[in-house]
Amino acid sequence: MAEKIISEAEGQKELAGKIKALEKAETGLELCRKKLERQRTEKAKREKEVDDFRRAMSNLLEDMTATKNTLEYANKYTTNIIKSMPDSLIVINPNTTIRTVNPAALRLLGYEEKELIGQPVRKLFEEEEEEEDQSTHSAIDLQAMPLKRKVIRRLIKHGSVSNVETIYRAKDGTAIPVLFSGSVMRDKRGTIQGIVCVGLDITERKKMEESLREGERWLRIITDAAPLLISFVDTEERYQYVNRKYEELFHRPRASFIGRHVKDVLGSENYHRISEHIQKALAGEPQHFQIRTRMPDGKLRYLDAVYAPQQDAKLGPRGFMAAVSDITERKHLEESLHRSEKMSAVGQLAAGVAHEINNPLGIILFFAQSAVKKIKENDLLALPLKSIEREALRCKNLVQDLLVFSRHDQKRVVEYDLNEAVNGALSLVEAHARIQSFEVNKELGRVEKLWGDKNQVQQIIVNLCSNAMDAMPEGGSLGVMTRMLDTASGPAARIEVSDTGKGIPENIQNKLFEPFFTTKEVGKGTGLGLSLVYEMVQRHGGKIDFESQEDRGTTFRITLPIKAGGEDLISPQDSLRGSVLIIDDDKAARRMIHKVLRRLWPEADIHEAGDGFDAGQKVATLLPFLVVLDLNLPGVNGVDICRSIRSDERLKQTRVLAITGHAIEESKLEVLEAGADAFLAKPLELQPLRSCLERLLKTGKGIKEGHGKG
Amino acid sequence: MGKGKTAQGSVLVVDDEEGFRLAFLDNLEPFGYETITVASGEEALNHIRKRSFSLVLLDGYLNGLSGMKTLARIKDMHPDQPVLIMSMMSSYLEEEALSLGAWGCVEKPTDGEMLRRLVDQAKRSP
Repeated sequence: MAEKIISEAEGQKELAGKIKALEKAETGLELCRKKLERQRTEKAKREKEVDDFRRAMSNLLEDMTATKNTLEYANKYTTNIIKSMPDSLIVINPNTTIRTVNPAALRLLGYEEKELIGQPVRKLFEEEEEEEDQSTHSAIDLQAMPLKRKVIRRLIKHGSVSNVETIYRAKDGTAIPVLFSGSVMRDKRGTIQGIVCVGLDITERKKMEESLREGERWLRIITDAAPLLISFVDTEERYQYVNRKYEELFHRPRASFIGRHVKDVLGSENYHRISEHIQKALAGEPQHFQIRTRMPDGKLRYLDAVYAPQQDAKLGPRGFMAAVSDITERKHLEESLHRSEKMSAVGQLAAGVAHEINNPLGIILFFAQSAVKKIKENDLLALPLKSIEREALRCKNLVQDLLVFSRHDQKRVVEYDLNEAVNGALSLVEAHARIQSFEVNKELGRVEKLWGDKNQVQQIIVNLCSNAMDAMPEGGSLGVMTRMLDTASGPAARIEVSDTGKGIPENIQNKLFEPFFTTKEVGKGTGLGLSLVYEMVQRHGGKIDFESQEDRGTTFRITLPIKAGGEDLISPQDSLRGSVLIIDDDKAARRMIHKVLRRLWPEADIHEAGDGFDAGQKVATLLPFLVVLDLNLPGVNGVDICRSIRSDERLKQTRVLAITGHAIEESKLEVLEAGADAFLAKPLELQPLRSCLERLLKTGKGIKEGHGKG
Repeated sequence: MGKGKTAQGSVLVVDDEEGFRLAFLDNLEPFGYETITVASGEEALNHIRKRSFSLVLLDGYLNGLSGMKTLARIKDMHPDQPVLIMSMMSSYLEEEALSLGAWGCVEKPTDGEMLRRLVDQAKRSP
């Protein structure tokens, strides 16, 4: 039991220690508890902070999502636009590689996107850029002007260009015309970020333009080929289109017509004559009319005009298409047909009547002339008989004129000098002109030799001159002009006969060439003069027209071709031996005859004599088989030479061709009387000389015995 | 030639116009020329067959056998027979007449004196 007491004390002590320790622990616990409390508060605070932060973060996140959505939308929006836009879009990086291409561009160029992105943009413009410095382009190249550095420069300078026509090169090499617009993207500092290029494919438009141009070209070709004046006149009466005929007629480029008023172009006088038709056409009423009008070249022309109104379903009248043809030629043809019908009627009549009238007339003349010869000057019957002779002769001449219309007569085609013919004709006219105090103005230019019937040509001139003088009863001036002219069918001679008389009234102008049409009093004119002129000009393959202004005068213009037929067709004859003598004092005439003879008989021995003495000697020594003799030798009578040839037995076979100065009937008879075998009138003309020589030697005795019929 | 019965010569006038026949007769016969007038080519040929004349005056435009045919027949029979064509509008015939061998072709009418001189010349012709 002791142990227990000892242990109690010790236990007491131990207990006190334990209480103290407990007290200590309690204090520590309190501290811990306070600390924990503090920590708890802190934590709650932190948790709040975190919560706040989280909330803030969440808000932020929400905001960010919204922004992101907006951005995505914007991006999508742009992409959609870019993707769905019909125009090609290419964005180029500053280093000129391709950044973006839209599907339209890919479609247009035929590339895959990956084939282009990052590629130099030159791929699409390459060739054009290289062409840039070639300053010379054909017109067509200029039409399709490619994108040039110039454009790029402008682009960079101005920041944008719009609607420049250029060409993209597609993958397969096709050139694609585009309407190009571009803009440069820069950052704040102005550094170039890229270039946006938009190209509108205008292939179709180009095609349409081309086909329009083509259409226009065809329209031009067709309207230019038409022998018509074709134009389009709008509702303001202004030309919108004219064809080439306008250019030719007005001698002005067609562009100068466009927009000009009809009145301006045609002149107010012409305009007033057609304005009624213009009004009606513009009101939608088709017009067809004919008009005789003076054209810008000063010529009176017959025109046939058709106006076809053009209406637009919505817009109403747009104007009218005018097709105007020059029917002057047709009108003239109609007139000339009409005239030639009349002529041939006259011709038939003349041919039928002439024989019947001619013979009794001849008999009257025959007896009258015999009687006049038998009667003395102072006989009471001298005057009546001479009157009968004179009047019968007049009738005979009229019948001769009429016979020009019948196809009986033959033209005697020779080579002649027109001015000589004119002078010859004027010598008859001038005597008359002096009496009536006319002034005659001759203006004879250099004219080539013509082929034709010289007598008829002279008759033409005499007729025209006498008409001209009749048109100037109070005197005036008569002009006669000749010159050469270039016509469509080659060079031709022009003769003009003009007067300063009263002019020809318009209403009878188209009857002027009709036979029996006359304005002169009964008995003063037969009405055949001008129709004869017309007929004779026609037979020479020529043309006649006239221009007349009232109280100003009339000008007749005749165009004669150089050759009216009748070629120089000398063909060498069978060889003839023997000598030929040409007796003529005119050296030129001798030479011409010589030439013709030489060509007819290359082997003939041809001699010439220039005077009567020489002639006599040569005739006696040469005993020629042919003598060509000028009857009008100075100092010697040609008839005497002829007689002496005829009286020489050795010259029985010799043929004599006499040349006389006049073509009149008396000298012909004189020649026959002198014993010549044939005669020709001076001036000598090739064709008759040739046929006469041929005839002479064919029918010549001794040359061809027996039958006279060659 | 010149086998006419009179010294002045013989003439055959061929013309279908009585007036001309009379006119020729009037201007030849009284002056001593033997003058025969006929109205057609056929009649003329009947005479030519039998004899020759100093000159045949032949109208160029005859009814029936034409002047030119008559001329050709005369020349066939007697190439040396001088034939003078006397005609109105003689110029239309001249070329043909001369090529057929006519001595000449002149315009009708002509005055009597010239006519007689022509006959004289024709008579002198070889």
